[in-house]
Amino acid sequence: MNDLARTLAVAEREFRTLLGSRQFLALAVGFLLAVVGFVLAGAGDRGFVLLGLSLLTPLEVLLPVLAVAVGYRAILEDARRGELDTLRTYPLSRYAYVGGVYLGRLAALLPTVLLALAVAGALTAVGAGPATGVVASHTTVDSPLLYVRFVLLTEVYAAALLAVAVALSSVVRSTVGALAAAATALLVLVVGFDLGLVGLLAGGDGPVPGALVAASPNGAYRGLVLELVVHVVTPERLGAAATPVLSLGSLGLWTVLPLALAAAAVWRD
Amino acid sequence: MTAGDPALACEDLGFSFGSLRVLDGVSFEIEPGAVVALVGPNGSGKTTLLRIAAGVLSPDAGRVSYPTGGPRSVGYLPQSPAFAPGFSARRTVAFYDSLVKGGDAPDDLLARVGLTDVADRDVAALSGGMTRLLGLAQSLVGDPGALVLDEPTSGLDPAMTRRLFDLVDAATEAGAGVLVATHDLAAVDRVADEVLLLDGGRFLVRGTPDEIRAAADADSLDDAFVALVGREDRRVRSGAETDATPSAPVAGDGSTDGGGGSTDASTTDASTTDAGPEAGHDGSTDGSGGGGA
Repeated sequence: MNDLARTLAVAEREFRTLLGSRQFLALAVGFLLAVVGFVLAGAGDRGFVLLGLSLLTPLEVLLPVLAVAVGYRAILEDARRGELDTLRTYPLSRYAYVGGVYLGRLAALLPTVLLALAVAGALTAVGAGPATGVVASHTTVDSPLLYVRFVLLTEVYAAALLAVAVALSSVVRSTVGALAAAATALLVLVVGFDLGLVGLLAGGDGPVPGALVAASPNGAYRGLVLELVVHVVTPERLGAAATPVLSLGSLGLWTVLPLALAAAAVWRD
Repeated sequence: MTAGDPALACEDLGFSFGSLRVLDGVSFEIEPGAVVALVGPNGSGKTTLLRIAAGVLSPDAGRVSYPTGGPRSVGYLPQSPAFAPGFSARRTVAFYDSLVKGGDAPDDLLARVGLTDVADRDVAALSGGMTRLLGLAQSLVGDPGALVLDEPTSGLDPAMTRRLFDLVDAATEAGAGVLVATHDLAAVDRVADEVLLLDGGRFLVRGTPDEIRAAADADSLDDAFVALVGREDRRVRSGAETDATPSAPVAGDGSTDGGGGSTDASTTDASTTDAGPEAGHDGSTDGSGGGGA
């Protein structure tokens, strides 16, 4: 019996807990309907790449809400029930516990995102013109493969956001505190960083460095979608974006560092 | 674990909540096969001591040790056991068993605590007594060498209480050392090899049930408790009382405010649970459900 097996045991418990939660099912359905709504409102009329571009901004709001809702009470609830105390009497490291909580919630979150975006893609394939049926990677040609790339990048973004939510759940002491922390996190993630960038742009002489653009999860995700999906087919620069490596590195750090914080905060060895 | 090693040893434990001194130089050992009962007035620090003994709360001073080598060193039944909603009793025990692999199978554990008939029932649909028995099953996962039980008989009917202490007997016969906090002094009289009376952050008196009765010149442990602790007014403590002489037999007359030279014992209404505020995730166990999104 090793830490990996215990991590998976915790992950399975988290996954089943989430699947049995009406709140989660409501969130998943709400997310699906919101994404489909954007498609039906016209986001899917002009092919896969423009679908991704049209969904980019809504997802920068919807995904933080979904991820935070999925994760902000994950560890707090175990603590409130007293199960953290019980778990500590087992040969379970805090890393295995936090990793299991994260993986279990991620296993529910990623298919939720995938399903919504798959439905959006299917609606686009059915409703858009014949060009959307072309499967190709050549630049300037719209392609379902570029949409797949968009979906994968969105999953990476969702994974980073969930790590932030799990970290929040490890440091809050009460449901009220968790709600306040979640609201604050959403404000910072969704608008805070971008407002900071706007301030820099307004007060600075030149363009904002790529590292700063990619410093936030939203900025990194936006940069990745622009560089690896949108700019592949359109040479027009639609926004400031860091290099893909920088943006991926940022999302990686936004995943690893919050989980490390959660492991440090959940209990003392 | 070698012959002669205690199942659980606590040395010179100290713990404070802010400026409130809850434990002050507490030491004891539990031999394999022995039952040690921890008694004391509400607010005396019993739950804090149990949580430290179980390894779920770090003391400010001192150390706790168990023999190592088994799949699980200590089993813990919290005062208000609660479990993740949406799971059956069987799946709940199976989860904990999966963290150990080496204990009894979930069905065997449920049979031992008498929950076979409700094995497939959601934990949210279990009665308070059944939830406590499920907590006991959880504490037995992995056959730990030490068991720490916080108010295990609270909310149990007499038959369930008897079953619980039968399980405690079985565990001690298998070599486990048991530390149990309870207000059921009749049960303490039946099963305890040693009684620790905690008050003011220290052991006011310790010994066999007979020695406790003799120290208080009382006919029963109930009478001895009242005489030694002097809590006939049924109030709980909210302040530190640190002058108690550790481990000293006390011939209390039931008229003092603590029997151990306590000072400035402010009181509150007798409705709180044990041991004052708790910090962060070492905090309260209110049993509320959730865990979902």
